[in-house]
Amino acid sequence: MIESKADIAEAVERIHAVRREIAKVIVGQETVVEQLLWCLIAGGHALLESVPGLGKTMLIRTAADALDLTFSRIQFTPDLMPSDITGTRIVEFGAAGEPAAFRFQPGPIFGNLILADEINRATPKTQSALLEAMQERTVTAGGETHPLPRPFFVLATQNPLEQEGTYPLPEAQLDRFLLKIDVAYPSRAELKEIVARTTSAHEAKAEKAAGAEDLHRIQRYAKEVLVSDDMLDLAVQIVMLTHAGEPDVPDAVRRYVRYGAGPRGVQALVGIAKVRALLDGRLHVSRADLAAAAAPVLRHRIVLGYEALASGIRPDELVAEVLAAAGVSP
Amino acid sequence: MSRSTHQPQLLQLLKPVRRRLMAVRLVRRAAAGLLAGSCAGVLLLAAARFLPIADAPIIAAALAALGIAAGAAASFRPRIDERAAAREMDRAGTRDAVVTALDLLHLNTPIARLQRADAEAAAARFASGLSERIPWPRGRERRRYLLGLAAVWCAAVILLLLPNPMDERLSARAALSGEIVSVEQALDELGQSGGLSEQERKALTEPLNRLREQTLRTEPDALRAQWEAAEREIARLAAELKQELQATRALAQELQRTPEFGELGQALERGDRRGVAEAAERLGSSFARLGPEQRKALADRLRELAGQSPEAGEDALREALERAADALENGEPEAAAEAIGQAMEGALSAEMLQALAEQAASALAAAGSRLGLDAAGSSGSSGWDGIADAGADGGGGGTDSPDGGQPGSEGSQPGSGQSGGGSGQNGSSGGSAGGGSEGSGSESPSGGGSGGSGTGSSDGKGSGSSAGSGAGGGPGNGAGRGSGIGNGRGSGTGGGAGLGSGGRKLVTTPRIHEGEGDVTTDGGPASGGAVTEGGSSPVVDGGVRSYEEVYASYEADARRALSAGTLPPSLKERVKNYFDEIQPDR
Repeated sequence: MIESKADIAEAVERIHAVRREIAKVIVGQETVVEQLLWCLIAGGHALLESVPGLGKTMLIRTAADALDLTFSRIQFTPDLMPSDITGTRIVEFGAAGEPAAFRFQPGPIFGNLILADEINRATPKTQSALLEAMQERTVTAGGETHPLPRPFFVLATQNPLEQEGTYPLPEAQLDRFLLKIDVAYPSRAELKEIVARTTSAHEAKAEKAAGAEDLHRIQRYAKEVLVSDDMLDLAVQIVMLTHAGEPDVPDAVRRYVRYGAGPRGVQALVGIAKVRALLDGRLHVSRADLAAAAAPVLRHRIVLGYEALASGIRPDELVAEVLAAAGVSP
Repeated sequence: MSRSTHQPQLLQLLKPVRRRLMAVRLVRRAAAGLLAGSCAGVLLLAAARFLPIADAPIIAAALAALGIAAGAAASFRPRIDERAAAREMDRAGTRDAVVTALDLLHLNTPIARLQRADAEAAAARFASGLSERIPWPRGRERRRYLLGLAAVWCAAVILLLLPNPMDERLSARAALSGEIVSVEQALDELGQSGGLSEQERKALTEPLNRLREQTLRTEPDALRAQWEAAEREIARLAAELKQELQATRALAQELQRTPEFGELGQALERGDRRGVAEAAERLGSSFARLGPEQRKALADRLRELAGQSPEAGEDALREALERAADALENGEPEAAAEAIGQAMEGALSAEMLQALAEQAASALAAAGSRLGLDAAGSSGSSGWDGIADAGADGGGGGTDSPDGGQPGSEGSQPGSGQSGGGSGQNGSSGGSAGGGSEGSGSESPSGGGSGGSGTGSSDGKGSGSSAGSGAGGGPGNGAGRGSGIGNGRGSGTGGGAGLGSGGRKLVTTPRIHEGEGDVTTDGGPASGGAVTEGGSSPVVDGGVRSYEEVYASYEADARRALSAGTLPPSLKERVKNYFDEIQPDR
């Protein structure tokens, strides 16, 4: 529980230290790092979308190093089976080589920070196994339930290109990701720095800046951040404005949106706003927090219609319209 | 810290913010209301140039004042409470801290206390620079407002300074309303005395009231026609009343020939209402003393009198006289006296009504001239003059005529001729385009007057006729003939006085009762009474008198009428001009 301003300052300093450590390895991508940290502090899972080669795996591995968390990576392929993720029961042989007993062999999902790389390339069955584990934070095999380690984060990646032979995640499963983080292409300066760092003999490595306990404490602090009725009303209004059938929605939403965000969208919006307020050293949520959280929270929860896809409308554009209609500047 | 210590502190910090917000909103909305009210006022002033709107400048000023009041009143809604003040602070830089603290005043957790402290600090910083953070309207906003207001007020001043054509219509309506009120008051007094029926009252007041309503609503062209129609209606009523009045006077003279009714007749002729009532009361006892034969004779006389009043509108009088005759024959003297009294009262009312009709006609003419309806007024020689003419000679009066002229009437006495002349009137200009006629009379022994002719040639409305009189001495036949030619459409009533070109040294006058002598009332041979001879009569028979003598008498009467009546100055001037025109030495 937050007892004094010093608690807040200490938490903020911890996160800044993590950010600094990540910055030793990852060039640029401040927004991505920021949103990744929001997601970790809020205790949710994130979906990262970018073209290949932008350092998603490196980012997650570095975050795990800075937070001293166990990291595991699962490369999703069409032949990946659920048990390849969750683990399976195997026969354990005795000293004489005779079968002695069944033993549960944990899969790669048993870690703190899981990178589910190209999640849309696995079959829906395998995707469902991962998503169930994300939701329940347990794995059931052979009638036994095995809790996943805490903290447990899944950071899934998607490649927006090469959609042939993929299994796009259904909307209901997309909703289980707290944030969808768009990883942008680095700028010229960043690219130059990346090349300089990765082609030299010096290998940058992030040091531990915080531990799982620190992360757990900061998560509790974030949940304590205060929210006024006005801010709750605003969060609800923002989400409701993504529904085409609601009154006073922007014309673009009415025209392009097939389904708007659900209740998980409001929960995520307020949760992320609290984290942002905390990282800003505030004890209350402001409308700026809600505005900043809106795009990563809502962009994968807005289901676009055919006309939007045909016109190349991006969800972020609609979120901007929604924020303007709610009287909030992004 | 407890809630009781924090709540007042935060709310104390919000108080000056609320007051400041309220003051700024009041000023802004009152200013906006002033601008909106001024715009509405200018629109009203502009509309008042096309529509007759009474007191438009006052209403425009009231609209501006109302705008301020409405703006000020609107500044109280929605109410600026603590939450509104907190939101305003948060918008200006406290990043939603104050609203959150206000919402969570009931919380006493450590984080709530910490947040509240942050919010109070932010609120205190805000309150210290209140005038900067919630400023009065200034800069470009204030300049734009002042420029807009100045433009609107300039427009208002220009509209106020430019002459408004609707003002004349409004003043005419006001004048007409005033006249209607005075006519109605007179009618009320008359009604209280029992001498006025509702039908008569409506006949006189309805045209005036209708016209008053239409004065503001009707286009000028249509109004002109309605104005003329009202004038005709009033003039017709006045003429009918004049006939009734003449019949009443004739009845009074007839009554005086019968001894029993002599006193009643005299009172009736004098227009003495009280005298009539007293005489009627005394009739009852007089009738009671009469024998059957005398009552029979008196009843016959009453029926004879009833038969002598055949004019329209005299039905009530005739019926009352016949009822009195029946009652007298049936031995009911009181009923007979009462019936006679009622009949006389009704007869007396005609005189007052006729005066009121003249007043109404004058009011119409005066108001019409204010409206620029002089054309109607001139053909309205149709109005007041027509009435006067009808009373003066009963002949040669103007009538409706689409031709704008009318043949004059035939001379009725030897040596006199009457001429009719027509006058056409130009509807557009309002001026008279028709020429009046000249009558001519000759002084030859055979006598004769010939009517002139009048022509009217312009398009327009109205017609007039003039009556000229010529007198010639000696026996002969007088003939007057007038012709009018007019191309105009429309109608008009009345008659003007034409100028005879014949000699007018001698004129024929009617019989009058202004001589000196005794008045003896007897039953006369017709009713079987005794014939009284001898003595001298005050009756001065009609005859040929010098024009100067007649002129002086008539002019004196006119002067008395002008000084006693409520004739508008413009019409008084016309009467004076008329008498100047017919002076003997011209």
